[in-house]
Amino acid sequence: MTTSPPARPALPAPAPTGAARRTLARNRSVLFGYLLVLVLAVAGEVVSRGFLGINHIDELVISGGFIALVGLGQTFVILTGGVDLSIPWVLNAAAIYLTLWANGDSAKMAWIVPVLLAGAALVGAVNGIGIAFLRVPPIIMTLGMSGVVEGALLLSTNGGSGQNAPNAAVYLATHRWGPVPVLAVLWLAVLMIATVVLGATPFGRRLYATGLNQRVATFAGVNVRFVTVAVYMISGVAAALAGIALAGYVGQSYLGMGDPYLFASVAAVAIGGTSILGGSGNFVGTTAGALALAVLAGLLPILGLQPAALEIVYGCVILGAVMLSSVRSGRDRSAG
Amino acid sequence: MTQSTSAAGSQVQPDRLLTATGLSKAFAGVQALEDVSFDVRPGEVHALLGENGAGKSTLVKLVSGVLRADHGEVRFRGRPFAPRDPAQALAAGVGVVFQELPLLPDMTVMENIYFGLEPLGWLRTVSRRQLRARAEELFDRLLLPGINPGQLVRELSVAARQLVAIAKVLAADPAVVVFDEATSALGPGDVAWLFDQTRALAAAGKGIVFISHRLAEIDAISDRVTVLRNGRGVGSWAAGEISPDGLISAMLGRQLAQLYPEQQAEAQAESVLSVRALSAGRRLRGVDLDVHRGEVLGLCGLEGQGQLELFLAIYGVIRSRGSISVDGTPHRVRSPRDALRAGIGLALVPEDRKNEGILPTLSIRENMSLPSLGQASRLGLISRDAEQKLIGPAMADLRIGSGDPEQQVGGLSGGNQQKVVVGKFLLTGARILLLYDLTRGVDVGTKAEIFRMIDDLAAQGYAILFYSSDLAEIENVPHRICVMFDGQVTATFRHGSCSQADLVAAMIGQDTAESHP
Amino acid sequence: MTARSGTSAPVAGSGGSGNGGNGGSSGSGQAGRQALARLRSYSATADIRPAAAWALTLIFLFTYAIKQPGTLTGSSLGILAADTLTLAALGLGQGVVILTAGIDLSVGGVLALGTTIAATHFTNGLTIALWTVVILAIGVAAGLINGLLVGRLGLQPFIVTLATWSIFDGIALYVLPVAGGQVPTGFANWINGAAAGIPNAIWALAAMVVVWLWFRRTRTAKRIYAVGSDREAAGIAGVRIAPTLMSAYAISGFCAAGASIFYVMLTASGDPTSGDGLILPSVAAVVIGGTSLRGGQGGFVGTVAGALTLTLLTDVIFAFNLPSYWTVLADGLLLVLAVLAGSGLQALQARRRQA
Repeated sequence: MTTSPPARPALPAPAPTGAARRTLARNRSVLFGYLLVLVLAVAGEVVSRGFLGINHIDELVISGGFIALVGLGQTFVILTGGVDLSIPWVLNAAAIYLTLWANGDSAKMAWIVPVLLAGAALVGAVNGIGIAFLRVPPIIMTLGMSGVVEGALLLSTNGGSGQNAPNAAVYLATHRWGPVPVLAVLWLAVLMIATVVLGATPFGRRLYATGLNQRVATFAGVNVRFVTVAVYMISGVAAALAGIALAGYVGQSYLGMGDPYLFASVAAVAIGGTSILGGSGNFVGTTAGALALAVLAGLLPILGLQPAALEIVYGCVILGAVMLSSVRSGRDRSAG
Repeated sequence: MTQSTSAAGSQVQPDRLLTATGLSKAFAGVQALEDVSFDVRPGEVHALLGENGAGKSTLVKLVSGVLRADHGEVRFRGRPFAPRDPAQALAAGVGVVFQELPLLPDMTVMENIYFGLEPLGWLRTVSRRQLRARAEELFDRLLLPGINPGQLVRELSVAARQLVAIAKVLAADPAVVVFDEATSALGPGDVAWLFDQTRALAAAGKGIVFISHRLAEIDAISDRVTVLRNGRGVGSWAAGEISPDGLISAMLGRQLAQLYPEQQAEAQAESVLSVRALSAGRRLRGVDLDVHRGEVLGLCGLEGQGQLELFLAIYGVIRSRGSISVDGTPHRVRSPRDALRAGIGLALVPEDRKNEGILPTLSIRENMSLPSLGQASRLGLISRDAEQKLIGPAMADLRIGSGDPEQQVGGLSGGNQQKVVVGKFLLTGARILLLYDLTRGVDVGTKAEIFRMIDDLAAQGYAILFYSSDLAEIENVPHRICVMFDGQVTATFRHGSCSQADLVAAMIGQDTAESHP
Repeated sequence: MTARSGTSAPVAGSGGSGNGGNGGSSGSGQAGRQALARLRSYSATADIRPAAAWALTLIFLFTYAIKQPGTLTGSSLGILAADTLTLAALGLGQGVVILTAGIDLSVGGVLALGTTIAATHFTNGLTIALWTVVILAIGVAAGLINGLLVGRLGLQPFIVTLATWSIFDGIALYVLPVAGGQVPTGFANWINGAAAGIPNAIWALAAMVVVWLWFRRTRTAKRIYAVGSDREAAGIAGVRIAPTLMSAYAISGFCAAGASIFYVMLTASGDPTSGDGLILPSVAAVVIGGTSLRGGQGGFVGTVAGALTLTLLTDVIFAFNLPSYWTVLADGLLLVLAVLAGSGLQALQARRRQA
């Protein structure tokens, strides 16, 4: 670039209102998600006194946190334009292997947990490599890996369920510091780290660029393959972490633990306003979606409705959220 | 110069095939067309000129049914004309060859041409045999023997696709044909074919609307010229009534002093980019090239002669053999990141014209800083301050947009978007710029801006490799010109020492007497 | 400018075989050459992947037959067909939606709903006929809802059908909270029966294929392919996008409803969770059969092969005395390898064409 000072008049200071308004517009889905959580929570309290009692809030936050943790990986993956269908079985495998290998001995967790996380990262890496290098569509690759992980798990454990979780895990998952569960603090830390990574690091910027247009990102020097492999590895690790924590929380592991979390992770992402096409959205929104799902799940039994109703409500909430965020983005686009 | 404006009013005009009166159309606050009137007479070729954003495409879309006008009306053969979509318009007698070449890539040529009108066999299924027979008959009639009706469109070159799109419209034998930038992908031979077809259609009493940015083509083919500017009609002239300069003034609303700036400086002797025996795939077969400091090296060639592969290879997008050296040091360029590290930047506009250099939903700041995020970070986090310091001077130097870095790039004009792309690479410290067809489909005013920018950059010492499909540009802008044919550089000329005819001869592989170093 | 026919290089890409006809030669030689060129161009452009899928099916079939003698008899093949019917029917509809570059996750919900309604309302010939019509109509309605959301509101298929799947699953849970119910034995036995020596299940599969082969050549199908190939170009070519999408999803819903009837015949009961485990296999069958998730290419002929392959895989694993846990692992590997092989074959074919 030229080093001589420009002879032209100085640039006018960029108008702050334009930027602020746009940030607000982009995040309206997130705000709406939290509003939904609030409304549902209040409704719960109205219907059943004690819904917002501290114990119940803790439960809701924790179960929402599990969804948010798997939602973390799913958010990262969906932002790049993909999807991770292998989350449930990575979660389940981590939970079962933890209980089996520890066999009640908490000290073993010191090596078990790193090994499990590394294994999950490996699964994620395979996903990412298949998608980035071999150009296999994400649905297919992660679906295939899901089968491989499930099959490997079943074969290695001969179809048996896990056992009881080691005490350390149980302790960490259920202990509280006063009114605040340890897990809640963990979830908060995860939320903050993920949000910073997505919003303020070069990696995050490159991630969004990859989701918006791989070719443009490549031409701009972004290592799209690296980003792709990284997000699937993150997703795998998050799923494994969720599996370990879940095993501790529930006290044991069993087959099928992960099943509800596929739908939940995608639903949380969608409710939070992240586009399934990639390139827009963030984890703060996914957290709102996760909490909304958790509160809903806690609410419906109180209303005396069957599980059938919960399914229907989930579906309607997702549709509602997606319709709202599409109306909004349509308006933004024409004004932009 | 006398102006003749088409008569407004709603009376039936039997001597006009197509009449558009008082058309207006707005999009989200932007008035794309305002009170525009236009008509086509039988047997005439009526050219439509204007900058990008002047409203030509909008007018075409209104006439063909892609859009609905806010005000005004269109009449065809005296009767109101409001087709639901271009297919219906074509069936009624008004055919449009769109610049985007809307063909279905996974279907064959013949399926595309007769889409929706396929001959039906038993039980209302499409008869493949009849389809092929009709297609072959059509191609014979139009003198297009080189295209296989059974080939999948996605495997055709862009030029072939353009021919198929044209054939599709002509197959329906419409009374009015609109060619929107129909020559942009065609080589000289095919352009001649199109002109023959156009003259034949006019002779048969059809009305032709011809849109092009190439003034030479307009000059060669049209009987009447209408200019649009900023969504309004500026005037209509008969062929020969107005000079090319006059047309440009009408398009721009001002005198364009010079389209091509005087070259500010001579190229220096020092070679910045050296390429030897560069080969890739089948198309690139061993190219030797040097680009010197402060030089604009022009590249031209027929479509598919390896020029795209050359650019992609130097930039690391495709794998190549041979050597690439910057400032004498050989570099292994296996990815765009390697290229950026070597100081090379690429701004490429592909044939479908979707700009591959910008993310339209993001701001100018986010776009420009993307390759240089390392420079804008402190302790692993992006610092807004550092980012602003990084892009501020570049935005000012290149005069990008209104100065607001938060502006969405998608809302910028085409010229400004190109500047964002180039500026983005200047920020990485690139000293070699690869510019591929930056001016494709771009209007005269923006072209002038781009040429000025290129000239400024050359004066500052950048080494620029400049490819264009427009021979007039190649003739005028670069210091030196290389012609590519069959994957190699077959001729080199100095600025001013060759004519377009010389270039064309070299492009089609005719033996040039000698290269002019 | 020089005239076109003389000097310029041929423009039409590199479709070598299509240049037959150039250079005037005598009549009969030219006709023969044209026929050969036509044949070559057809085989060059024909999609190779369904053929590859069928090759895979036959490999599995013969492997199974080697291990398990008696496989290649009519009745055994009939059982194979019966086991595959549900998945094939699901794959038929799923394939149509995938052709539009979409996906239908709600087929699981429609299937569940269909089985629960059938298991609670099929009592005699009359009610069977009546409620079958109702179930099929519900399938179409479900598809139209999906089609409206995707086609008119422009929402993404993955999310929309994920949501409607949940809704339909919920409704199924209302109808029949636990797996159970019953259907008349005569009805359920149809799938095991035979007509004219050929098992009914094979008749059913064959009928589906015949219907597809006809449908594929109709203009409606062309429009569906067009929308998946390039939506914008399709719109310009006169295709009404929203109605076409609605047709595609309606077809999928209809097929899923039909699949539920087959399911009930096979299991003689209804199950509100029956759909959950069949959604992703329906996508797998379509993809293994060579249909591209990007839309615009593929068809049911391949999907049948994909469905048969998946069924046979389970059988082969059983025949080799491997633990059944291998099934899910093998399914996963098969899926990924099939897709890789498919795109590899396509690339090879394209390269041969460019030569």
